Formats: sequence, C-alpha cells, structure tokens
Amino acid sequence: MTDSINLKLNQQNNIKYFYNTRRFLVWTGFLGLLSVGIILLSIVPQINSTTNLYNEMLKENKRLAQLRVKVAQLDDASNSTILVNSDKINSTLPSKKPLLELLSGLNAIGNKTQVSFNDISLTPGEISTKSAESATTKKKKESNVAAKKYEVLDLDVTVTGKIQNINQFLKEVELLAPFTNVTAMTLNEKTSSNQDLSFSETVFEAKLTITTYFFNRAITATIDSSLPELTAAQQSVINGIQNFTYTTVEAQSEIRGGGLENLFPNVDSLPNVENL
Amino acid sequence: MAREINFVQSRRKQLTKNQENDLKIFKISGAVFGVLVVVFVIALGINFYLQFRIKGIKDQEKRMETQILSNGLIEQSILVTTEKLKILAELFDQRYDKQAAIEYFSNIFGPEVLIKDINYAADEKILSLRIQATSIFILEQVFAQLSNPEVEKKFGIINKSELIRNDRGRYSMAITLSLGEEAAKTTTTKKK
Repeated sequence: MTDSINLKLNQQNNIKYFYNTRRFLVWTGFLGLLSVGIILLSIVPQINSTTNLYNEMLKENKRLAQLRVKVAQLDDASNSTILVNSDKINSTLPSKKPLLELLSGLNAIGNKTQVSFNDISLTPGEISTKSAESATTKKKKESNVAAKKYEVLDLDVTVTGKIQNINQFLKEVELLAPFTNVTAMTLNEKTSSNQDLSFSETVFEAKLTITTYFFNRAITATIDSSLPELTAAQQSVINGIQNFTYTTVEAQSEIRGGGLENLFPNVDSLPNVENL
Repeated sequence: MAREINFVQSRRKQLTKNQENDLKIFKISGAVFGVLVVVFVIALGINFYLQFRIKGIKDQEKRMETQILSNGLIEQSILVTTEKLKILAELFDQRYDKQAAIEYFSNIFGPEVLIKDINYAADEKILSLRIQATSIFILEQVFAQLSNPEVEKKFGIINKSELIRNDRGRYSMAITLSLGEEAAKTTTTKKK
C-alpha cells in the first residue's frame, strides 16, 4: 500500500513537473485538439451547408426567371392570337357534344345548297351513368378515354339533290364548325330509268356518315411552366377556320309551349279526385 | 581538487531550449487556430447571406405566384385553346390527305367517272372509293390511269376489286389505297 501511494505521488509530481517545464507544449496540444474539433464540427458542416444553399439559390433564381417570363406572357396574353381567336377555336372543337350546333349547321348548309334531308340518325353516345358501370369496365373505359385526345359523334344523313348540289353540300359540310368530316358516302341515282336526263339534271341520293369531334381531355400545368407558343401549323389552322360556317344555337331559358287548341272549352273546373 | 560538474546549469540550458521550441510551436498553432476561427466566421457569414438572398428570392416568387394565380382563367383558356389547336392541326392534316386524294382521282378520271362510295378510316389512313364508269372504254381509261407510275408514286399500291357491271351497262369498281407521306407532301404543296 505504501508503494502504491508512493507511485501515485510520483506520478502526480511528474505531471506537475511536466506542466511546469513544458506548459507551452501542453497548450499547443490543447489548441491542436480544438482546431481539429473546429474543422470537423464547424467548418466542414458550414461548407456543406453553404454549398447546398448556393445550389438552392441557383435553382430558385432559375424558377424566379421562369415565373417572370410567365407573368410577362400573361400580361401580353389578351392580345395574343390564341385568345383573339378562342371563340372560333372553341366553336370548331367544342368541349361538349355539339349535337345542336351540328344539326343547326347542316340545316343551314342544306338550305344554302338546295339539298333535302330524307333521314337523320345518330348514335347518342354513353347512356348509362358511371355508377351503373362495373368497376373493371369503368377502369378500361377511363384508360381508353385518357389515351384519346378527342371524342367523336357520328351522324348518318341521307340527302337528295342534283350532283353539283350534293358536291357543294359535301364541301360545305367540311367547312362547318364544329369540325366535321364526311367519313363515308354512298351515292345512288334516284331518277327513274325511264327519264332521259343529263348527268347534271339527274337527282342523286347520298347516304353520308358525318363525324364531328369534340374535346374531352383534362389539362394539368404547374405554376412555373411557361405558356405554349403558337406554332406554324397552329397558325395555319387559325387561318383555315376563318372561313368556317359558324352557327349559334340560342340557349333556352324558359319553357316554350302553348299554342295548343283547348280540347275542353266548356269545362270550367276539373272534377274532384274523390268523384273519379 | 576535483573538477566540478554543474548538472543544474546544463539541465537549465536544456529546459530553456525546450521552452523556446515549445513557444515557437505554440505561436504557430495559435496562428493556425486563429485562421480556422476566421474561416469559420466567414463561412457562417456567407451562410447567413445566402439564406437572406434565398428568402428575398422566395418572397419575389410568392408575389409572382399570386399574380399568376390571379390570371388563372386566362391561363386556363390559353392552355385549353392551344391543346385544341394541336388536335385540330392533326385533324386538318388527316382530312387534307383524304380531300387531296378524292380531288386527285376526280380530276384524273374526268367527268365520265362517278365516285359513288367513299369510306375513310382516319385511324388506319385507308381510303376506299367505288367508282362507276359509263362504259367499258371509260373503265379501260381508268385502269390506265391507275397504272400510271405517277399515281403509284403518290399512293403506293392501289388495290382494285369488286368489278361489277350493272344492267345499264355501267361498270363499277372498288379502289382501296392508303394515305401516307406522299399524299401529305402533295397536300402541303397544294395548300401553299
């Protein structure tokens, strides 16, 4: 025990002696440790943080530039060709089934080209509501609809008239808004074989399948995405639709009826339900 | 007399030399520590500056976003209208191919040939025509026209089928062709 106590005392004396004689070395070691600590715990994390912040600043600057461009585009948008012609474009490719517009347009063209309509029939489209469809059918239909950019409405029309009138009718149909195509046509002579008429005087019956198109897509955009610019092909489309025939269908805002003859002119009041 | 050996003096000399060396090293390490502290302060300062800049940029972005959202209806209208224009451009292209082909055949066959049936499958770009010639001689001309290299170059292989003669001596035949790049090139040239 005395030996261990003596050993401890000797060690303490040695430490004191070392500190007294080499204190600057001790402080140097302490500073060295502190420096390493500062490098590892402060400077390196700060440099990493600074690098991340700098990259973030570059990214935010880029986004800010995009937003500035978009704000400038929106400020000029009211005079843009797209918005100026938006009514015509929306009439040419409407966002709803353009049945009334199409029928109204065909009527106008028929009057103009002096063809008469013998028959009009169409496929009304989806009748069942979405809740009535089965889940798998609904998913399949949704994926098909998502892939298609537009929907179509087919109309079968039978017209009669002279060949030049029918030709004119076909040309006018394809200048009608909403955008319409004649996708099938069958032409038959309607004139009796006994009559000796020239080709231009012969009456023909044309059975046509007319397809019209309407828009059904959902569009998504991010706040910093820039507005699309008009391409040459799109400008050409805008030029092309200037000569289209546009019809307006009056929106019905009240019930229209009346004008019927009173079948019971001498009846003042209806009988009570109990007496029936 | 014995020579004196002064251990204390030599020892003191040694200790003084060590202390001078230690002092030098201490000064150097002190300088290094000071530099590291300065570097740390500079890095901290740059950090604060960048955070301040980013905050300023984000404030500007918020103002711009508010302005953009207030013009949401205009943006929606432009996006929808542009999408519709893209679709119309495709539909116009498809239709010009068909119209160009029908007009082409109407012109090359002449007034003695009547196009009685037209069927157009837009997805497959296949056009089917049924033509009616008033006599066998006109039909012969039709065959010659269809065999013309220029027609083949424009429309590729033209399928002829269902040749029928009716009781009035008129001949009708079905022609099926696909509308490809050549038809589109013809259309573009015509449009110009």
